[in-house]
Amino acid sequence: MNLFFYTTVRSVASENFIQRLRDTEALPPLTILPVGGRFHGEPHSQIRNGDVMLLYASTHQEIHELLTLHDSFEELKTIIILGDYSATTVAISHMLRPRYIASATSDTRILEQVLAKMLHHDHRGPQMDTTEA
Amino acid sequence: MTISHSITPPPSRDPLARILIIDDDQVLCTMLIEQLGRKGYEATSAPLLDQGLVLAREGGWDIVLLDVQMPDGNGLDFLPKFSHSPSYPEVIIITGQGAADGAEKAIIGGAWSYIEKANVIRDLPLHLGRALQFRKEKQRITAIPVSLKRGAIIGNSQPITHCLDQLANAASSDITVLITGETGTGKELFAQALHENSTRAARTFVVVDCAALPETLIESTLFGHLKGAFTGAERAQEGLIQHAHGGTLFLDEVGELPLSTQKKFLRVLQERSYRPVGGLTERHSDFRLVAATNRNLSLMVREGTFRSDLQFRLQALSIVLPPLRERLNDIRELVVHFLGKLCARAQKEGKGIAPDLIETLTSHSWPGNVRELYQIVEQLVVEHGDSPTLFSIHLPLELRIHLARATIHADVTRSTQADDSLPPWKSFKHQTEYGYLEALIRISHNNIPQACQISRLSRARMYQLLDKHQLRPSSH
Repeated sequence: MNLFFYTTVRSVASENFIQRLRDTEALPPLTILPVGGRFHGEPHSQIRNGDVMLLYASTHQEIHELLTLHDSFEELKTIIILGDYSATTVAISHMLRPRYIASATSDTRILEQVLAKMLHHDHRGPQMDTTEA
Repeated sequence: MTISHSITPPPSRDPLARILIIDDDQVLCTMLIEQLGRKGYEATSAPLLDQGLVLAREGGWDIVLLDVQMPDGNGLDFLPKFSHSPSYPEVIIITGQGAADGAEKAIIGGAWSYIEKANVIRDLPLHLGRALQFRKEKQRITAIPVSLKRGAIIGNSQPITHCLDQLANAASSDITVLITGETGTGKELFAQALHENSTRAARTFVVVDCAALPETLIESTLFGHLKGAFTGAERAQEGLIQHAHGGTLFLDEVGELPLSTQKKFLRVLQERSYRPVGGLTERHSDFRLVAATNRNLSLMVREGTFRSDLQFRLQALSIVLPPLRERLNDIRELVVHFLGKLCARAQKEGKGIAPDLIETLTSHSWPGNVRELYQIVEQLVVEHGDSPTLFSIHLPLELRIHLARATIHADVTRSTQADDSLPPWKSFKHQTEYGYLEALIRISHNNIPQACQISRLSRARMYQLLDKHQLRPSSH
């Protein structure tokens, strides 16, 4: 499972958040995708089904921009980081089917715990459904 | 195989229903077959579970009468296999031991009803009549053409069509649905489709990833919290239950929910109200619940790691998704779909698919199911994106070697079985061990820590085995 970061608009706030993530010791290696790029060519071709994508949106408008790219994230586990944590923005964020929504100002150690659990669960591998047992 | 009795009504008229009796009590079987035959039913019995399953898999049964204490196992353990056999019959449990636990297990497992053997001759007609009436209604409902939005659910095989029928029926109500199936079978896609086809489609679909949320975070994430409720709660925050108001709450990997949270969530299900962390007042949320898991919840209940009352609530309706190996006919359609999507995304020309590619893919057992197939197609597009047609030679080398070995192994097994002999234990063990390790390396993408996690082998033992079989993953 690989970890990617994407935002439609690079801003001071998003740069600060990336720096905070990088300062988090136990975070898996993070690939920062080019801002606003179409999802083809390098480094996007490294993205595989089941990878984790951190989607950063400072504003309500940026969440709408991410929604237009929803098809590109479909097979990925998405985590949304919101600069604007208002009820309306959060409600729209759910349209991206995130596995977790975090506030940009929240403690990155919480995000680290969520990622660690995702990684652990992913590594347990396929389990059989044995409902008849 | 010995199938004990069969009485078929005169050929001039169709039987009212076909009934399969799985019971080792020959006297009872004879009595039931005669009784049912007189009433116009066609009945057949099998004295062993395995023999019964063979008959059930031939299809065409409306009802299965299943005994619990059988010479080759407990009938209740086979209940899902019978109820998911091709004609999806209703199952009525008959047993000489009317234990309450067994009755509960039978009902949770999806049995129509439960009759004590001592009363079966007296009670069966009533149970049978009701079950057949229900079955008739069910078939009438599923026959109604439904314009179902399938989303990304691909395939038209019988097992997936049955699940889509269940989905269509469930979507028209607010019933709680539990979706089970192996990893990679598409549980989330089904949950989304359920929402999209429901009256709540215009409202929010909220995913709760129970496997990703640390225990310390799960309650505040679900129920929300007030400002100052705990260290770090600098402002009040609504929980996912509130976000799902008017819409659908999807509890993914529900088997991972901690016991303490299970208790609180059960209350939410019963009362549709909850209390945020640090709050004193109740809040209300009107949501439809869909849950999914690849865990065996019944087993977890027995082990004490999952609440039986919550399990009961969750599986008001249960949809069991088939593994890909049981719907190999869908592989071609899936490959075409994935290929089209991935080529468009990568801005590459559409590709032809050679028949040998599909033949090779359908010979694999797909332990990672549709997700594994998607990953293979992903790899094909990345590595052979410029080829106008994809052949089996383009498949990843590890997969081709694995399939080649499996074919040889199958041939060897067939030939040894034909000789009524088996290979020496040591050689069989060696071969099987090799096959396992090879698949493990492929699934873990040569990642040793991941391979250790999947196999639960220690790192030292892993290296020892890899050396023994001269397997060399890139990180080794």
